Amino acid sequence: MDTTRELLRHNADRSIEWFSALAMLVLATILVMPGDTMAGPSFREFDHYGLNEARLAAALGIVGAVRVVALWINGRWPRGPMLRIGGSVIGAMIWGQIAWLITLGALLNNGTISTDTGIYTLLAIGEILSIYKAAFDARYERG
Amino acid sequence: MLGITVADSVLVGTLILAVLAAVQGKKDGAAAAKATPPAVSGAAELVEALEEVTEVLRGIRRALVEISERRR
Repeated sequence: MDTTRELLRHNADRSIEWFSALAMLVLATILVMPGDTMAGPSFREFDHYGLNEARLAAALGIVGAVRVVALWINGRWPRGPMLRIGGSVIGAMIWGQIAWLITLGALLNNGTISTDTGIYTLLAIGEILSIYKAAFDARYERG
Repeated sequence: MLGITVADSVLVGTLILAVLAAVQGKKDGAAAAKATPPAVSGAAELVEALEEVTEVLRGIRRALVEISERRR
């Protein structure tokens, strides 16, 4: 338990939140660009869950934008950390699902694990660290 | 089984980890808030120091006035 706590304390940082929120916005921007970005074999499993380009781009764009605003106004609005927790929870769910669906799609269609699996898994882990940091800030700032 | 897919399990697992991280963060935040000494205001300390200096200067002035009166 102490090891987990130390790990969380030393690795949790707001820069992870910034990075993750911006990654969401970048991904949303790429998805809304012309052409079917999700046409590749790695993305085939997304269809089974009704996750097409437009829906994924909308979810990532809205959540990413809200998180950037929450981080930008950080400290000037008492409910900021709560918004950050919410954004990170949704982020962890999104990245976790993308990581798994890409893994499944790549395994079933290519017979290999995609390099994206590692990246999206790390993003999901980063969100867990951000949840810890935001919850810490929310409680600490209350005194 | 029961229509639960691996994707559902990943989602639930992520949520459990999220709740655990939030609870741990809240606990550590509360402990850190208690451990932190009360914030010292720089302005308040400066005012206090100025008041002390003023008091000392008043004492010196009183002493000088007394000495000059005795000489008369």
